Amino acid sequence: MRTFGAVLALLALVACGASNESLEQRACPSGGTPLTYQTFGADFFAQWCESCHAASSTSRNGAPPDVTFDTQAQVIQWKDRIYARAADDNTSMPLGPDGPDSATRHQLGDWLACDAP
Amino acid sequence: MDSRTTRAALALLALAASVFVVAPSRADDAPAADLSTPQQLRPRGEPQATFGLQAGSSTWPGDPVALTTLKLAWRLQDVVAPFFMARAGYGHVNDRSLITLIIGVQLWGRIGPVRPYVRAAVEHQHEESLAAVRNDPGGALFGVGDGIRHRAGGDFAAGFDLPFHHGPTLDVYATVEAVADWFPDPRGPSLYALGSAALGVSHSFF
Repeated sequence: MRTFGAVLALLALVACGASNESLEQRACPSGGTPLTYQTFGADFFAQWCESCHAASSTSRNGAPPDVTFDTQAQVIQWKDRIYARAADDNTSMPLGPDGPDSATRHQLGDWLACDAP
Repeated sequence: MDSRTTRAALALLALAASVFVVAPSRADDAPAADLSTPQQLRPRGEPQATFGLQAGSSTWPGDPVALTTLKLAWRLQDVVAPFFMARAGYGHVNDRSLITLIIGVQLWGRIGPVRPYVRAAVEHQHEESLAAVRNDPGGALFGVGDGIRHRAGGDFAAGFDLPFHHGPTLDVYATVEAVADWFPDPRGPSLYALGSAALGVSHSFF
């Protein structure tokens, strides 16, 4: 029982200990962003996300079937969670050690914070 | 392989096997006179609880991992035990939590007071980003959270128990082991190599 309590405490620590900024708290840079879906978003998602998150993907590696990033509208629909997983200092996606570099993740943060134009 | 090499290999194999088959008498073996009551030397059943820490790395580059473990076992005839293990921890790549349920069998030998063992098990592991755990801790706890990567694999370990307290029926021991966890799916690293240290208690039923 004590161990179960310790596990719960650990989970509570995990749940409350770290603070990831949410997209709501992330400001769009003053002056906006020069990045657009055509110049940044489409290539970013094609390179890093679509192998699992395309509607046509046959190897989703656990990606929920309704979470797809094939269009700009779909990206905007999921932008809060995309930010929480992959933008700025959030590195839980894409799967594995070979993700985008920090500068690219911060570009994604800027672009999402400006409503993914 | 020539016959000499074969004989040497067989001899080595037999020596190793003897550790696990012939020597399961207790460390505090009594003089020969006590051997007339072997039931006092080899408990019929021993429930065991072991709490430990594991640390190591996966086959993903730059992916140190650390876990806590709780293993519950019931050792029979001082030699073999079915066991259940629960494990929770963290992996650096993808900032992910690791939660594992393991069911398997462990086999002990004896070298003096030391109890070397090997074990093999099947396991189910959840790998989920901490961002997702924070978003839905209840779902993470019960394995239904969004984005959990469900993985099945094998857990293999070799180590030894070192008893440091002998009571009439209760033993306390320290454990050190090497662990390999293998997963055939592509949803995460295929292999975890871990070292583990643990403390455990066992209660003997004669």
